[in-house]
Amino acid sequence: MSSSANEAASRASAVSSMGQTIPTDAEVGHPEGVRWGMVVDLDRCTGCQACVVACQAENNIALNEEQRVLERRAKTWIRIERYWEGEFPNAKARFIPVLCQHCGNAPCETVCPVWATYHNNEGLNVQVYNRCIGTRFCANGCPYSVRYFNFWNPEWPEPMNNQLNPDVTVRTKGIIEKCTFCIQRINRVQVTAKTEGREIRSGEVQPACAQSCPTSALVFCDLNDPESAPAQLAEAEAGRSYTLLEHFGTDPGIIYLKKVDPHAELEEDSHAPVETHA
Amino acid sequence: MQHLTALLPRVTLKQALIVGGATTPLLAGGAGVLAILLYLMAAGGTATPAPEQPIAFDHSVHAGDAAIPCEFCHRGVGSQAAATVPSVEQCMFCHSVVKTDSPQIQLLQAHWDTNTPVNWARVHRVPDHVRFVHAPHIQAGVACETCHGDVASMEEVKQVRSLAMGDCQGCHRENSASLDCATCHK
Amino acid sequence: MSGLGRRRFLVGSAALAGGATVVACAAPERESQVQSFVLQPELSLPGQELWFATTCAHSSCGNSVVVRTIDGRAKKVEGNPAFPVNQGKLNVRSQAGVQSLYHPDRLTVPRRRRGLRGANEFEDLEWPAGLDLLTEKMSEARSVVVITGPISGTRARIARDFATAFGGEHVVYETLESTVWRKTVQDGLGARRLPYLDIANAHSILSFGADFLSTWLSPTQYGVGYGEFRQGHGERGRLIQVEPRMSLTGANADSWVYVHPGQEGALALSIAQVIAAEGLAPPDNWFNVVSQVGGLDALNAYAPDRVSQRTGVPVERIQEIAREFASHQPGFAIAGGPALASTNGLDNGLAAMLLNHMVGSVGQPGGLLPNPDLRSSVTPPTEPTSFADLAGRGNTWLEGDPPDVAIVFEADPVYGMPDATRFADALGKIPFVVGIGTIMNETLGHADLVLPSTHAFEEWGDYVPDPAPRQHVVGLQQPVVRPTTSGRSFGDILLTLWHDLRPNLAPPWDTMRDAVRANAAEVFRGGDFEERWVELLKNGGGWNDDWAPEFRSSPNWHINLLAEPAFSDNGVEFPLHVIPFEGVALGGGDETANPWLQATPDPISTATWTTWVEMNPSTAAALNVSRGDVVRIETAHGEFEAGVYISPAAAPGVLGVPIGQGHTFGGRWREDRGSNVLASLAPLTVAGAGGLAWAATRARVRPTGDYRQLPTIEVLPNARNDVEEVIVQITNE
Repeated sequence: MSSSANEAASRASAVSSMGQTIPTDAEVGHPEGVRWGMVVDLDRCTGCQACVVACQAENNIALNEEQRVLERRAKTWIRIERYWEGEFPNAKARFIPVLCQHCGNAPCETVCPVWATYHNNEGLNVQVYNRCIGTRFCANGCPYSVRYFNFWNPEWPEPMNNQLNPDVTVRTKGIIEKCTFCIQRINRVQVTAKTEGREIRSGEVQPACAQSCPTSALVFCDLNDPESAPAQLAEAEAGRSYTLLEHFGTDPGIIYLKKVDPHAELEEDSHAPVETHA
Repeated sequence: MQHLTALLPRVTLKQALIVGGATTPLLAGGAGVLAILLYLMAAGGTATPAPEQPIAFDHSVHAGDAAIPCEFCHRGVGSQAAATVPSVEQCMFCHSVVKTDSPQIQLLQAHWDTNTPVNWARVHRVPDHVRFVHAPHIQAGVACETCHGDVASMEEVKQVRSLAMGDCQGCHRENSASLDCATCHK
Repeated sequence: MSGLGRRRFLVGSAALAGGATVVACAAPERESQVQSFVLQPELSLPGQELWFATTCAHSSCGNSVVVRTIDGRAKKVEGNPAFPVNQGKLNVRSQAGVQSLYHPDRLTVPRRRRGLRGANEFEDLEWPAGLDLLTEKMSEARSVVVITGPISGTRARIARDFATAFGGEHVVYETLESTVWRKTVQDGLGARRLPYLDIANAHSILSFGADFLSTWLSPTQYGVGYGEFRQGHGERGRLIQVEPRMSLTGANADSWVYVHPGQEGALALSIAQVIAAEGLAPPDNWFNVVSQVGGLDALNAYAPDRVSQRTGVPVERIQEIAREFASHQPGFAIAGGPALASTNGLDNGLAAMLLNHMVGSVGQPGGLLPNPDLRSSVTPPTEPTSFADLAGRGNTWLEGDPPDVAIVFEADPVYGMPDATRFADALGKIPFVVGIGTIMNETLGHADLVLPSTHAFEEWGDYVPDPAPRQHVVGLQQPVVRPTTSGRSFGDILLTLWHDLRPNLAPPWDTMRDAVRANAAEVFRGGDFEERWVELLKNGGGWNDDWAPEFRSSPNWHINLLAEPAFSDNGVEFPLHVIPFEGVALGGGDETANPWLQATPDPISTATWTTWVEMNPSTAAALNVSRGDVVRIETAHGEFEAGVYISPAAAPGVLGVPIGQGHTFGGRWREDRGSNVLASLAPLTVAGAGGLAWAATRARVRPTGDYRQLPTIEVLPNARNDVEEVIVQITNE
């Protein structure tokens, strides 16, 4: 896929529809500062869905009623994709948690006409809800299909609204929402650290999904902090690490560690372009 | 539509869109109306009338004459998001003996006696999609009156600054504070 | 677990005693006001988060949680990092606790039946009227039966002693009860308490149907170990899962092996035979053990070539499993799910247990480790009443000897007992049935009086996790928010009745809080108790290492006892095999009222909100049905409808059906949705253990001609089924 790699390279300093140059990751200055990211160990992930419900609870995600699922408009900022391999009796199910990859070179950011989505200086792909006008260009541009459009206003029958997290805006009809890496939790830790006059400790920030994961398959980290356990893990497991659909050149902030299957029949160079989920 | 926006050179369509999204599903036709509102908020800014309070609490007496520090009553201000209003109990620390014959203090006494909370009218409020945390501002040495005005001279507290996005940004810009959207928008 | 110190854990209900709260997410008119507390609750400031350690359920699910509360509302449930069972982690169902707390269809006031039983016609009552009615019936009663879910600790002690004081008994109902595994452990290891599975240090796990990553016993505890098992130490652990329907654990196995239902024991013995014949484990390990259970001759009858046909597993595959398991030690074998839910389930379990004795993993690190015996002052976790026992009681009631009053709490036997047992009719013979719960269920629907109970986050309690994490653990439960309904806790209701009616027999405590405190004082003696009590509540309980008993060195069993499984039918009229299963979210159906759980995709099929039937493509082709076609599944004991899900992992002739739907009570998200497979099961029992043989029912399938789109999140046609693209795998270790 050399052509798509070239394409990605040429997009590295792409020109947005508003005529402004969107800086690349390097220009934003990640190498020195914080770059929030995650290491996802597929060999630990069991597909148990604990992260999915943790995310729903933390981020005021609307109830995915049956009708929404049937319409394929269910919102799951993190979802477990399941892939089948082979046939009975050798069938295998494979699981992968997919969430916003917080790409360093995000296709969604360049297409937003109102800068509702942008890259901040901590490596987060931020969605500003009150800017979003619902063009859905970003969702179309996202190769991971992790941006969700609100086709309806969410409803929580009384007294269910008591559970809503006051730190997270309830999204109304007509705007896009997606994984924020639990930015409200990052902010909380930052304010606490500042109040206490100290630096953020390694591993102190935990998004809801990583916090709940029983097998510790999801580990949140500052990718630029060489001291952080996940960064060391990614280093130590260099042979297992990869990024999702890396040939698109999106520079994801999520590093996956490969599933180990002693009985896998591997094909060499299987990185063929394929259709995306959803 | 066009002539409306022409009247308001300082407010571009882009800025109007910024406010539209989350709480007000924005129709193209509504942009101009919103722009006017925005303009009025940004330019007019100061003159929000003081709301009527259930008890005529006089800040000029407490913060002015008695020179009680703000954080004596608004105890959360240095450590958390909300500055917090004091409990009835805290008022009663003093007013079980101070000025007990005043009709307003008797109103307070009635709340204490009947164990009912006081429903103060809210004076300052930011929209739901904004996260405002007092603590870092206090720690950065921002004085209370920078945003709240000279409360020590106000009989009735009213909002003196627009506290709209541009207002916050101006101050953040002057002080080299964060201008990242995600700092304030949640 | 750096978060712990930072968080403010608050003890007791001090923060809840405040007069008013500011509502953060309320109606706009409230936002124009700021309420001041009359009394400022200590540490509680508007918008300030407070974390309380408690537990997620009444039952001994084992997980301790910390609940984030803001302004007196519970916001988020997270794992308690200090607690040794779940170590800060949580599963799907525990997370959903806040949603059942604020469920719009929760019972808010007592209700009295007006129409026929089960007709769902009730009138609201005031609490005094409800209690008067109950007191009147109880004072006339000669005998009572208290039916609860699997509760433990002080709550269980009160239930048991209360029942005794009123001339009755305490019956514990668990939808898919753990009876058979408990009996396997007793007979196979000589242990009274369930063993600790040292998953983290195991190099191989051979699981016969135990879905320990999803719903089996203590999945969060096992999940924590599993992460370490895979990537936590030098040698990556290997997981071999043997079962007739691919469970979530099976999907994560390195080797998933299909076995014919009920033949797990034969396969286990065959593996044992290979280990012995090929000398895969030192003979010192196994010679005595094998001699004690029947000798090599008995074992040789299970040589792979002799059982290959019977089990459906090729000879080479059996040999491979034996070699892989035996050569990657330490490791252990366990049995659960369908393996134990066959009529020969206990034999299957004991055959699996024999493998542990052979490879020498019993009582060794990386194997099965004993859990400490409980101190005398701790009430042991209640063991579930076996299916045979409960069905027998039902028959007695039907035959005209019912107790006068039944008190049912957090148990739904009317839903879970197969229709063939006529349990609803049996309950109907009891003159007065009181149901206590947070939300309606089928059993409460058959009650004469329904009393709302407090939610787990609104009440006091304690519990003993079972299985324990190789430590002596008592978990504590404290209210994290003020009750949102008029509900009262189960313990408080029983204590009130007890003091009113039998004051001379009543315990010294007036409330559950007193009882929990008094018991904690008894268990955690020494020092200043006030200080200790605060510590206990902060930590969510207390734990320490304790003396652990040893296991017996060989199973108390004989190879020749392994029986052929029996089924509901000879397979002619009903040629297909039904394997019901518990999903990771819906479980046994108790918490299906909750929309988060309903919408959580089943990991295997990605289906939500409904009942489906997993079918091999060849089975579907033979029936001329495809995905989404609604079929009627008929057994000799009932029938139900389900949507077809074609699964490449399903075995030909086996129908995998999720448990949990098909309720007529329980609120907007649960009622009239899907089907209840349990109702149509044959009432067969597991020989020697009395559990329901829920995997022993055969069925036939008839297309209805209807089609309903399956609510799945998977993409079809699965254009990106080129799995290597997204999930990169490697073979090296």
